[in-house]
Amino acid sequence: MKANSLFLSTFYLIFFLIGFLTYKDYGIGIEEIFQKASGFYWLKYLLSKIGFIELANLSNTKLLEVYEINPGLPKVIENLSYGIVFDVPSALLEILFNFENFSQNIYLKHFLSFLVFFVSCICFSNILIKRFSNLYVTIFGTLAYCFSPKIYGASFFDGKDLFFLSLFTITIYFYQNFELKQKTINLFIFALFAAFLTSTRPPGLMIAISFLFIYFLMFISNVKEKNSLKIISYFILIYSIFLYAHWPYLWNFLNYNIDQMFINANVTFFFDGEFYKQRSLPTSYIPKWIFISTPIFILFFFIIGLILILRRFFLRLINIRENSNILYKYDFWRSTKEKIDFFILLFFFQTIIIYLSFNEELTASWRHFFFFHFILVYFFSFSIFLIFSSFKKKKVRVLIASILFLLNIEMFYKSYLYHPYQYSYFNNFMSKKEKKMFERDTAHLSRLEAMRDILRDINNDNNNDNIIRVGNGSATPIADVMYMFNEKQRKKIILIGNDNLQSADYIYTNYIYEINTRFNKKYEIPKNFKLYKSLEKNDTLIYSIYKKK
Amino acid sequence: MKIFIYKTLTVFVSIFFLYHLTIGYQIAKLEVKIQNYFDKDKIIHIREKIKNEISAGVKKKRILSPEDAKTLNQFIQKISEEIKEAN
Repeated sequence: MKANSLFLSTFYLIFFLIGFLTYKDYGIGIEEIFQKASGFYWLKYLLSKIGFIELANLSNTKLLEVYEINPGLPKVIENLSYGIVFDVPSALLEILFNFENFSQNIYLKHFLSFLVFFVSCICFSNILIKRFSNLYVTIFGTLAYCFSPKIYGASFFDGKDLFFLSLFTITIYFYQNFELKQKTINLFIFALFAAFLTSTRPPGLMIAISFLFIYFLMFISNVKEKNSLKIISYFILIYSIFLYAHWPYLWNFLNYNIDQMFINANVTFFFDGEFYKQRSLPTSYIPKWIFISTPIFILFFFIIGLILILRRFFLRLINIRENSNILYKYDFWRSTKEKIDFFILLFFFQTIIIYLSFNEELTASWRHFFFFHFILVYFFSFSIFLIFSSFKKKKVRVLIASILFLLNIEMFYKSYLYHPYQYSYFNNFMSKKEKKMFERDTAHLSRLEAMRDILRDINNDNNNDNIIRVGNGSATPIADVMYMFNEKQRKKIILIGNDNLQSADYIYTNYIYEINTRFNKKYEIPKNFKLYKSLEKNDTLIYSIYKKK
Repeated sequence: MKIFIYKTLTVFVSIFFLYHLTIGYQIAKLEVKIQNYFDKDKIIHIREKIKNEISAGVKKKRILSPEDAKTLNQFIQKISEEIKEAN
């Protein structure tokens, strides 16, 4: 226990310091500006409802500013699937801090996003401590959860899907607390977070469904136990009240079109060397993305853990008898710890059901399924636990721990190599050629660094006082990031989009397209341009800048 | 009662997975093929290609070889006679 807390305090300190020192290195994520708008929109709505008119007007001014920066931004009311749990507090903080600078507000959000992820890391290690009570499992599980490159990279700018993962972990932590100490206050906190999770993204309903299902199973396993029904009713009541109380979408539910929650532009994705329409992606899309962008050793131990948990589940299933509760109280678990495993296994099944049933709403990469990272690392930890439990000799344990430690070192090193593009991480299964068969900069982070490069080049060219025309050879919007620069720098650049690339002085591309470039030559780089700069991270091509010859 | 509930749940879940792993998977595969086959960009590309071929053909001195022109002429005449006969 002492070793556990020593490791964890040191780890949290280092992890926090790394995050604190690097959060400004990341560019602007593709949804950040919209989330800013969403935050101010709902903040204005909430403040005007409770009578804070002056603050509501201030929010409205901020909202108008966002649309001034990006007039093409979608309307908040047409994108109701965006919850308010992250956006509204961050909008409120933005008003309270009152930073003049656009970039400071963006960095504030980055720091906030990382902070939530940091809290979820603490919750995750506590889940492991309470479930496995094993130092090795806590160490390696926590490291895998926090430092898996794609997840770590997203923790700085993804206030939507990564925030959902963080909230998912925090909610499961409170669920575990409730299971260990069945107090009303614990059920209260768990229901509150389950409600937050549901409003953040629709798959958040999984937690409520799993909880109700588990208590239903408890009831049918042991009909005499009336407490399950009481818990079910309390949970439904508290959960519904909290959900209604904090989600403005429900206040005016009948006036909204539910279809608006599930709209997409049916753009084209480049996946596995082929172009696919968003509404007709192959079934292998998400599994393959997870398979190629998660460290191999995490995948390996996850598969072992999953097989072992599934084996236990099926053995219990086939051995259920009408009166089996004479031997064991419940059919699928023998202890609270096993009950937590079963709870997580239910997520695994539900994730597959969600994926097979609603796979039309996918975006580039697997960010809509980032919550699966929790399941991955939990089963990874489960298999590590069983491996360490089956080897009693200290020497063997030390050997396994050393191997795992080396694998973690490799993972940190890869994170370092990819910095700050950990989001574009590919594991060792992928060769340089194969990496080019997938979209890399799917978060559109590189546009900020590319604009910095162009401005630097203009400044180095002392004779050049002309205004520079920058073309866009990809579907990435650039206009937003220009506000990260001062007015003098902004005035040096005119963005010409992609209509007339011939007339540009520089062309930027991160190779993300919304069309099939094999047939549509919209983004083709004209022949009178030469490659000025290409950024590769660990053989992964992130972006290129072309300059007129 | 308990066994009945478990059995019902198992059957439903099994049918769902069985469907998606077999028929559903094949349907999805076919859907992907059809959707991507009739991709808008692809159709526009083919249309442009046909247009270009036609305009390139117009610029040529001769489009058909004398033999092809003769065969086509005979073919059109034959069809036209058959249509007249039908009238």
